[in-house]
Amino acid sequence: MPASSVDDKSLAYSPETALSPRRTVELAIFAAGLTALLLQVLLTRELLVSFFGNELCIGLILMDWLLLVALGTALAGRLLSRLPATWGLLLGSELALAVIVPLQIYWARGVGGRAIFPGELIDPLTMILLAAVVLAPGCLVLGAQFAWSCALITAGKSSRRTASIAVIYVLEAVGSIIGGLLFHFWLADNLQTMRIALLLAALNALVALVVSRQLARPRHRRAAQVTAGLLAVALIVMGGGSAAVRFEMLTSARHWPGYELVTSQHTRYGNVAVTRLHDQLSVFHDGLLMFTSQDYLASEELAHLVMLQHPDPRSVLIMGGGLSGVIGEVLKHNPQRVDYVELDRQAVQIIRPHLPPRLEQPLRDPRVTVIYTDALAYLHRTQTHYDVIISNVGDPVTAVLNRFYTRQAFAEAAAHLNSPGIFCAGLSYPQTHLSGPRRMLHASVLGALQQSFAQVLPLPDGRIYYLAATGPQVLTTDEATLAERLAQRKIETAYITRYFLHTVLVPFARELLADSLSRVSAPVNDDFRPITYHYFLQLWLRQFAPTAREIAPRPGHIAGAVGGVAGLCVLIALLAWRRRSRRSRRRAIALTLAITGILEMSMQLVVIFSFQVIAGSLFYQIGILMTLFMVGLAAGGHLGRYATGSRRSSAVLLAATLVGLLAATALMPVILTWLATHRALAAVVLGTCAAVFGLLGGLGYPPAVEVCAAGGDEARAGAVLYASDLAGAALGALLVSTLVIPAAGLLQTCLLLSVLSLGGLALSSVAFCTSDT
Amino acid sequence: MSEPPDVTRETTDEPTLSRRDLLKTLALAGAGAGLGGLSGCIGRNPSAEAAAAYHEAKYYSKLAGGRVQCHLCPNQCTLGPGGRGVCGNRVNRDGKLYTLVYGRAGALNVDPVEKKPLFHFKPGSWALSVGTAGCAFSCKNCQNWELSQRLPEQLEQSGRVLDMPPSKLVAAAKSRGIPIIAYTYNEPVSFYEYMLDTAKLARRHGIKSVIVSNGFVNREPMLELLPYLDAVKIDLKGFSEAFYTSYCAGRLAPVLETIKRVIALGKWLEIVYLVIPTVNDDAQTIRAVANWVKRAGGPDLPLHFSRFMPAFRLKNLPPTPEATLRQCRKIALAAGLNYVYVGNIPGWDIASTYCPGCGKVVIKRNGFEILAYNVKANGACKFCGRQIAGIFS
Repeated sequence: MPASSVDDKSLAYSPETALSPRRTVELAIFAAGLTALLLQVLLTRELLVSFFGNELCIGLILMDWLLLVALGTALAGRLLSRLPATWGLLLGSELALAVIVPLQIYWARGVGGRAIFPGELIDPLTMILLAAVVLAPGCLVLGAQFAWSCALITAGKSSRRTASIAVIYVLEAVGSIIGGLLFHFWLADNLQTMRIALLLAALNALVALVVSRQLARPRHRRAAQVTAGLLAVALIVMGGGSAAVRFEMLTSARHWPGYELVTSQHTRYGNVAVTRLHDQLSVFHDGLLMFTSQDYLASEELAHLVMLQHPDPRSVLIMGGGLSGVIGEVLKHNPQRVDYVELDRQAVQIIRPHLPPRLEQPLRDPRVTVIYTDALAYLHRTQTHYDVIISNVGDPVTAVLNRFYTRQAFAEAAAHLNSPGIFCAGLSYPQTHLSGPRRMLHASVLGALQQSFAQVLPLPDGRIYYLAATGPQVLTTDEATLAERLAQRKIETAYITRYFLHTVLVPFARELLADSLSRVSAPVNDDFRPITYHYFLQLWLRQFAPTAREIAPRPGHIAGAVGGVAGLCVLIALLAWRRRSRRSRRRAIALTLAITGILEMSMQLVVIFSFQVIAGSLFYQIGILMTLFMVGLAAGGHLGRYATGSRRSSAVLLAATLVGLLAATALMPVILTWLATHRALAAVVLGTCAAVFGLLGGLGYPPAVEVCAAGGDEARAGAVLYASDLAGAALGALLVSTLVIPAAGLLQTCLLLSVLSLGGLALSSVAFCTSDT
Repeated sequence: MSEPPDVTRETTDEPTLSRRDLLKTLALAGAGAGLGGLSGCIGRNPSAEAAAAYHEAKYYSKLAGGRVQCHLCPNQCTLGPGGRGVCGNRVNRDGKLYTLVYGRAGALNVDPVEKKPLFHFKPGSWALSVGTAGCAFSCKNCQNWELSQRLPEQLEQSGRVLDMPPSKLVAAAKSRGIPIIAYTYNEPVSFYEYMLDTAKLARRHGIKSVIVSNGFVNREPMLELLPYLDAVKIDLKGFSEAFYTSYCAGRLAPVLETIKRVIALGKWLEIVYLVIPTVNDDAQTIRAVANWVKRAGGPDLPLHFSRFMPAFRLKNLPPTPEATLRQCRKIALAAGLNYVYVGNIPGWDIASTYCPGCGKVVIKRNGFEILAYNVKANGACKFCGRQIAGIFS
C-alpha cells in the first residue's frame, strides 16, 4: 500500500484536537531535529570519553550516527508499502525516545570500561561496533520518524507533495538549528549531561502527548495521553530536581572503574574529570589522561631544560598545560613575569580546587597572569615579547593541537621572542628508536622549526625537547654551564640535578637522533597541510596492528581515488542515459545526493578547520559557524521547494546546485589563501562560506525528490534520498577529517572536492532523461 | 645467507603534490574510471628476503614438509615454509630457521646500569645498551613497542637500523671505556644468537654482559647462555597465569622456572615487579610475590617495585600512586626481603640500599644517581662489615 493510502480517516482534522494533523507532524519533526542534534552532541561527548578519543574517534562516531539514521530512514521508507505510517507509529517512536535518550547516556558511559583491559585504547573496529550498539536505538527511531513524517504529511494530498516533504526537511533542519543554538549558547555552560538528557526525554514525552490527540479511537487516545503525561511529569521532576545530579555522578563513575571520581564536568571544550587513587589525583580531558598530581619528572624536565638555557630569563610565556606543575618549576628561576595562556577557563575552575598546594600555589603568585584564550590567537594579537616561550599543549594528536607545531605557529612564536630568546616544545619519544610515522612527524616538526629559528637543539629523554633560538650560538650543550646556572639559581628539584643534565646531554643519544632525523625528508608541517597530525593518526592506528602492512596514503593516491570515483560517476551517468529506465534514474539521483552529502559535510569541515587555523579554536565562533551552516541548509531546502513545479525545472535546479558546489569548492582555495593575510575578516568570510555550503546542500534535496518521485511515492523517495544524503555526509566526515585534509592539505582538498562535484554534476544530468521504460 | 641491507638506505619522503601532478593523476584515474588510486594507498613493505639480514638460528628442529619447530622459548612455534615465529624475527626459509636481527641494532644507547635496573651490580657503571626488533610477548604497556612489536624489515625500511655485528658492538664498548653491554629494550631472548655471540666475545675482552629479560626462555638455551652473562634482570609482570594471558599473551610458570634456574646457577639476579594500579597491586598478590621471591632466592635477592607509566595501549591508566608503591615495599620488607626498591618515583629513602646488619644506608641513591657509597671493594658494609649481596668490584 503506498504511503498516500494511509488511513485518511485517522488524519482528518478534528476540532477537538488543539493542532491540525499537519501542524502535529511539523511539531514532531521539529522536535526530532532538535532531539537529534542534542542527542548526537551528548552521546559523542560521552563516547569520546569512553574511547579516550581523538578526531578519528569523532569521525567514526559521526559516521555511525549518520549511517544508522540513514538506515532507520531507508528501512522505514522501504517498508511504507507494508507498514504504513500511522499516528500510532509516530506516537510510539516519541514515547520510545523519551525512554531511550537517558538510557543511551548510561550505556555510553559504561561501554569502554566493560569491553577492555583497564585504561586500554580501543581499536577502531571495536569502536565502530560499540558506538553502533550504543547509538542504534535512538538513531533508528529518529531516522524512521523522518520517513513516517514524510508519509503522514503527504497522505491524502494530490498536489505539491514534494513541497510538503521539503517542509519536513526544512523543519528538521530548523529543529537542529535551535538545538545547536540552545546547546552552544546556554546548555553547554549551564546544565550537566544527564539533566539535559532527562529534559530532552521529557520534551519527547510532551510531543507524544500532542501526537496522542490525533488517535482516532477515544480509548486509545486516553491511554496514550495518560502514559505520555505521566512519563513527561516523571522526567521533568527527575531532570529538574536533584536526582539528575545524583544520576550524573553515579553514571559518570562508570568511565573510571576502580577509581574515586572526584568530579566530572563538561566544559565548552570537552569533558574534564578528576579521579583519586590513594594520594594521587589524575586529570583527564575527554577521557585522555592529562597529568597526575605526582608527575614530577615531566614538568621539571620541560621547565628546567629550557630555562637553564637562558642566561637571565625574566619574562616567560607558557602556552597550555600550566596546571601540571610547569609554572611552579619556571618560578624557581625567579622570572619577573610569567604569562600562562589557557584556552579552557572552566577546566581551570573545575580542576584547581582539587590540586595539591605544589600545583595550586604557583597560580596565586603575583608574577603569574592567567590569560584565557587560544594561545595562538593571543600570540597573534599581543605586542609583548618574552625571553622564553614554552609550548606545553601536548602531542599533535588532533587537528586543533597540530596548529601549535606548524611553521606558521613557530614563526609567530619566534616573532615574540626577545634577543636572546628561546622557544621550547616537546614531542613524545620512546627513548630507544625512531621509525615509521613517528620518525616522519619528528622530522616534519624539526623542519618547521628550522624555518623560523637560527638554532634548533633536540634533546632526547622522556620526550624529545626541541629548544630553538632566534639567534645563533644561544643554545648550549655544555654541562658545566647549565650546572652552574642550576647552582647559582639555587634550584631544588626531585630529578633535575647535575647528574641528570649529564645523562640528557650525553652526546651519543643526541648524535644518533640527529643522524636519524637528518637522513629522512618529511614535508614541513603547515597550517594548511597538517601533515604531523596525519603521522600521529598513522602512529595511533599502528598501535592496534604493529606488524600490519603500512597504510600510507599520499596526495597522489587520494587524488587518484577521487578521480576514480568521479570517473565512475560519469560511467554510471552514461549507463543511466543509455538505459533510460526509471530505476537507473532514481539510483543515479540517489548517488547525486550522496555526493552532495559528501561535499556539504566535507566543506563544513574545511570551513571549521580553516577558521581554527586562522582565528583559533574558539568555542562560540565555531558554534556560530555550525549554526550558519544549518541555517543555510534550511534556507536551501525552503528555496528548493519553490522550484519544484515540474520535473524539468527540478532537474535544472539539481544541476545548478552541483554547478554551485563545483564553483564554490574551486573558489575556496583562493578565499583561504586570501584570508591567510586578512585574518581579521576570517569570521565574516568563513561564516558566509558556511552558510553558502549549507544553502547549496539544502537546495538539492527538494528537486531530487521531485525527479525521483512517481506515482505518488514521494514519501518513499524522500526517505531514500534523505538516507543517501546522510550516508554521503557520513563518508565525507570520516574521510575528509582523518585522511584527505591531513594528507593532501586544505587547499588541495577543496580542489579534489571540485573534481568530485564534477562527477556529481554528471550524475545529476540523468534528471533530464525523461523517456522512461 | 643474503647480504645485509644497506643501512644508509632511507625512507622515501612524502612529495607535495603540485597542481600539475594533481591534474595529471586525476586525469589518469578518471580515464580509468576505477578505484585504481586506492590500491596505491597500501604501502609496500619489503619482504623479509629483500630487507633483513639472515643468520641461521640455534635451537630448532626440522619437521616433515619443510616445516621447522623453534625451541628457543616456551611458545615452541611450528613454522611452515616462509612462516614467522610469534616473536616476529625468526623465519623458516627453505626448511631452515633463520634469525633476521643478527647484528642489526634497532636501538643503541648508553645508560646507567641502575636504569636496567640493577642496583647491586657494579653500581654507578655505564652500560652500552642494545636492542633489535621482536618479542615473544605483547605487553599492553610496552614502552618499546615500536621495537618489540614490529617486524625487522619494518624497522629496516622506516627507521635507522645500525649494522652492529658482535665484533663492532664489543669494539664500540671497549673504545668508549664502557664496562658493560646490556641486552635490553626488546626481549633479548628473541635475538638470542646475536646476544650469545656478543657475550662470548665481550667476555674475552673483559666486558661484562647483562640481560634485561621477561624470563620466557627454554632450559637448554638459557643454560648455554648463562655462563657468559654476569647479571640477569627478570621482569615478573604479574603473579597469576590469568594475568599473564590477558596482559602479555604469555605464561607465568616458565618465567618462575627461569628465575629458579638463574638462582641455582649462582648468577647475580634482580627481579622487577611492575605495579599496575587496580590491576596487579592488591596486598595479597604483593605478599605472595614477596614470599615466593624469598623462598626461591633467599632474603638477599633484590626486588624492585616499578611504577607503571602509561604507554602503548594502556595510555589512559594513571601512573601508580606513590602510596601504593611504598605499601608494596613495606609488605616485601615485612616478608623478610633485605633489598626492596621502588622505581620511577623520587625519594632517596626508597631507592637506597640499607645494610641488613646495621640498618645504615650503604648506597644512597636519588633515582639512578649515587649520592653516597659506603660499600667496600669486597662488598662489605663500611659501617659494620656485613657482606652486602651483589657484585661490587
